[in-house]
Amino acid sequence: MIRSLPEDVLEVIEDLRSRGLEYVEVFYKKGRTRSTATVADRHLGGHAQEEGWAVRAGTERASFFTAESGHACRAAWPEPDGQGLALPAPEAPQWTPPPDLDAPLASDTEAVGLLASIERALGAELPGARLLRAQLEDGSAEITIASSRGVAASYRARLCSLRAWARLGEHRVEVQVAEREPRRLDVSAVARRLADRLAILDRGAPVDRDRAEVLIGSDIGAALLEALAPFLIGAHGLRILRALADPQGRIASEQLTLVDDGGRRDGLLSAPVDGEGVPTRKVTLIERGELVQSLRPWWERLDGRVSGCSRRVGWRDLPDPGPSHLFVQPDPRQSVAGLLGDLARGYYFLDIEGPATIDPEGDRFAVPVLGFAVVGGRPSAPVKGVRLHGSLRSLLRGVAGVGRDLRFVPRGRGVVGAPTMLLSGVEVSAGPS
Amino acid sequence: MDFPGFDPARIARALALLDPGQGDQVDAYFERLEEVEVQTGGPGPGLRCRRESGFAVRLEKPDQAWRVSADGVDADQLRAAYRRVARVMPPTPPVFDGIALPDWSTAPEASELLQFPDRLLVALRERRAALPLRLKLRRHLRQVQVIGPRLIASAEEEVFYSVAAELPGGRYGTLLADLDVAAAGALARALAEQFRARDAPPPEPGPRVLVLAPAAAAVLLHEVVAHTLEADNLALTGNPASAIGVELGSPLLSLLDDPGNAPARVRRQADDEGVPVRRRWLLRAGRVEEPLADRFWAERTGALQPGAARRGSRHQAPSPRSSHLELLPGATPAADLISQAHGGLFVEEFARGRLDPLAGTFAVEASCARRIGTGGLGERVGRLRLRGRVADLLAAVTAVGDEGRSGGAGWCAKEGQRLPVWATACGLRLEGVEVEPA
Repeated sequence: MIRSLPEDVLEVIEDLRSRGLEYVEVFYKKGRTRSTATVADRHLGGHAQEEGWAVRAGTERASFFTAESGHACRAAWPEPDGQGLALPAPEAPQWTPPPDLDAPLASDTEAVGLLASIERALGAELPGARLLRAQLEDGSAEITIASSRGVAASYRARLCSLRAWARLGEHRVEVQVAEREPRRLDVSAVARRLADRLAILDRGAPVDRDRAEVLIGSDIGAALLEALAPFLIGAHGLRILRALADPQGRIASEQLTLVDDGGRRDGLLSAPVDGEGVPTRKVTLIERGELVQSLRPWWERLDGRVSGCSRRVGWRDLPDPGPSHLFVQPDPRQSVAGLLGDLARGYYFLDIEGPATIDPEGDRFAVPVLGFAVVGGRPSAPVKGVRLHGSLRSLLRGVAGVGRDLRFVPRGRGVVGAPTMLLSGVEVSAGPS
Repeated sequence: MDFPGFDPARIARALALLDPGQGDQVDAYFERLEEVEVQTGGPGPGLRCRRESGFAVRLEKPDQAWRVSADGVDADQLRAAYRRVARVMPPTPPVFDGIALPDWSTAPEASELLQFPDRLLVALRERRAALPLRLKLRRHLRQVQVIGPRLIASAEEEVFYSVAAELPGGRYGTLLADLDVAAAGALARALAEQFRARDAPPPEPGPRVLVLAPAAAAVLLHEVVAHTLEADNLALTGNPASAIGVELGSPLLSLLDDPGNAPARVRRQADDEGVPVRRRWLLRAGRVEEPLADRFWAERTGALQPGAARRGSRHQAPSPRSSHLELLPGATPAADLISQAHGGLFVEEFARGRLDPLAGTFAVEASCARRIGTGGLGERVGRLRLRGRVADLLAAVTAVGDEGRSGGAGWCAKEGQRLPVWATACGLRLEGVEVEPA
């Protein structure tokens, strides 16, 4: 994982140090992506080779950021300006590379076959439905980060994402899934999800205002987590969330444990270090309902705790604190069928119809959803055009059950994971959020 | 004009060796980008500079297409890309030795970016607005050249600025053609307006008379007309050419896309496929005249003209998009748009919007608006949303202002391709439009 650094990286660090810039960091990323898309009756194949580097350099008083494509790490450096720069000291990461980093990229034939099978499966699931577009992007990357403080890390990454859009009449839905390599993608599950959502949009109707137990699928849980994520970062986020806590420091039900783990071995973005070279680690943010901590970048450490959470998507980007694999801890004993079977009257919502919004200061949340009404543990009627909303406190404290079906979906700059969850005390109303 | 030291003729000869068949398209796209950024009021480096260059080679057949793209430009990369697209190397492989784009040889210069925050501060003071502000200011330079086996378009250059501001009450973003005193004044006015409306209650839901300032009209027309008339969006529901002649909106609306008449520094002679741009009538008196098309859709339909292809970067495929919308002026003086809209709302700008091309529905949101009373503009209202069917909205236009204003219509991010959009628009009055709190 730690390899010798390219000569020119070391030269750049020395060159800039000799100009009086105490802090110098070089970030380098090289990747290739093979993309295959089917649009109507056309196949589009693509191959992208991306390569670039970024240098942050400065003193405590001023700094600059310069990034350039290509492999030659050299530039006409600008004068430092603006805010000062500080960089973290090196720490040894504890990380085992995922086992499938060497899996080859999908060939054109494999990719075209995979996309064609979605179309076939969709047709079998829901006659009349049509695949508008399907797109497979399969890529690998090498990342190096080094600094004048002694950080020196180099690692590889692998990611494959599949997006599919389908229609039925005037209704259109999109499903996005990702795995580290394409042979792990479950094509029939993608087709089933497209078909479920189209069928609900085609036949569903809104319901009157209601307060009942609600089961939410992974996509809705992930959307809510994505909306919550900005408030899980730094001291500022912690202050906002603490205002929601009861006198015992509890902000959620005992069922809810929330974790971020940038080094998660089966994670899509698994890495030994974050975007500033700080080792990633498992960070429990909420444990059995109790607010434990927020994500702490190295420069905001508290009681010696740092999270290794500076996200850096590519060489064009500056590091920015944020989660990488944020997820709700699943309950391995609880099946989705069991959660559904216990629902005497309520709703089982499968997907979002728009973005989720969370306002901790106003103690509000809302997310437009679609799914089914449930009676006696069985879906009774499709429901669409409704929103799930209420107070944020009631959402967090109303988590009454957590399934074992944890699924990660790419969201924002990271991936977010949620299992199916049972909620009580939330409201369902007709109309968009 | 070509890139200095660049030899497009050799690339063209190499592409000709690919022997494209009838209806096939083959081209090479070269790109240089520079983005220089300064931030005020936030952490991190003061000056940020991103520079890149690269290329893409593609071969498009009616039922298949291959595109290979790379960061950097050198002979090895060109040879590898050519081989991938060709599938089989021709008997006499082309020679790419010595082909390269110019290096970025000088340190970035950003004096106009560094001066603008002070200029903005003066403009805010003139408006008696004191607000905490974090400002991200960027200068964007984009140079492209498209080379085909028979056609070599000149290198094109776009230079423009973007502003992203964080202030109490939300974010504000805009595109600017220049960073002059007038731009600082317009930005200060927009920021002050949004800041002063931060605690204003949203409007009551229901049908309203709306008066849109030219900037708001530009965003609305981009979302509901330009996106609707992109050939790939039209193809979702049938043959794109069948839209021609359809009465889409009020006869008061005549709208063009004319990249050749955009603000001077973003004006284009050719599109991102190297095809000369055209002054394209999207709507003439409310009727669809010519949808936006690239070479693929022009070839496939046989009834559309290419020249409206844009690509977010070399790593993305071109698709039909608008560049610079132009709404022809109507007969109503700007003051009359408002004086005849008692009880309605005046919207200066829309912050964002989206279109569902399949359902023919849209939604646009504004951070704030003003009530229109008997004496003109009255109290502020907070966030609002317009939502409905495209045809209903365009039929609701009852007056078009007599004065056009040119400027940025914002970033458009259709299918992940982020592109700047420009417009010359007039004010609009619409009646019976459903408004709801956002």
